[in-house]
Amino acid sequence: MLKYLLASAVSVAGALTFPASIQAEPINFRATLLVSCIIVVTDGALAPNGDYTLLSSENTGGLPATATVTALGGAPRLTFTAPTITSSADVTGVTPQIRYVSPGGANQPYTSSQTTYNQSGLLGTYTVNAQASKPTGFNVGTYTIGTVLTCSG
Amino acid sequence: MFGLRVIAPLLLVTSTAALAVGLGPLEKSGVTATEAKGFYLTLTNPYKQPFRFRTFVDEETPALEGRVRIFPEVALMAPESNRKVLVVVRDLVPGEQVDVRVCAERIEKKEVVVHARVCSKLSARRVGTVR
Repeated sequence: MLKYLLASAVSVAGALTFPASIQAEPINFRATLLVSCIIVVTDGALAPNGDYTLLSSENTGGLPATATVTALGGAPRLTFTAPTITSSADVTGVTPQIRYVSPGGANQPYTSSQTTYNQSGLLGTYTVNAQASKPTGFNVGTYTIGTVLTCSG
Repeated sequence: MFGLRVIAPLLLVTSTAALAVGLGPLEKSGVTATEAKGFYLTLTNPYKQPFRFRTFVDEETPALEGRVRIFPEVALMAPESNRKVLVVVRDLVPGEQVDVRVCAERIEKKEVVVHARVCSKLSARRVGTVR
């Protein structure tokens, strides 16, 4: 009986004082989010004014371009390069300009320089207009005003 | 006289997504004990058609004299797909850090009004003391 009591006491003491057999493992969920950027653009169209001295996407028949920028994991920086104009006709001395706005707050007036905008949200939709003027009038030809929209971190 | 000044139909009018590209991450850095450091970028074709994309070292990056290799530089991408692009910065000397900007864009066959490009800043550093 004494042996039984002693064995029981040792057993209980062991259970109370040696909890090493109880395993506690933390369960974690991890994710590393990296910033990425997707740009989707639709082209616009230029149209002349009445006396053909101004080509603009805001003239009747013109159409603005749009750019949708989706940034995952952070806010990106957008850069519009200085616009260029190309044509089969002579465009010497013609300086193209672009302007853009977005519901998120971008509001860049017409400029011929490179501009940068820090997008505040994950999604930005930009309406881009372009124009070029030539006081002596544009000749027959096809004209393209272009800019490079770069999304970077 | 008027005829001479009639302008041909101007530019490109589209009603659907014309240009798009995706790239990530936009920033990445890494340390290496060897002379080369590689980075994986993820290139995205968000179109519903296959297109060719190119990945290249941005012209704003200081001349690296061929020390940056990109595999592949041109990729034909399936519709709405992603793929890995490997960028390797080579010939790192101990303690040296090389910063490079790598960009991706769709290869266009025509002039476009807004050309979309996404760029990633990569920074590779080799451990050790600068000699």
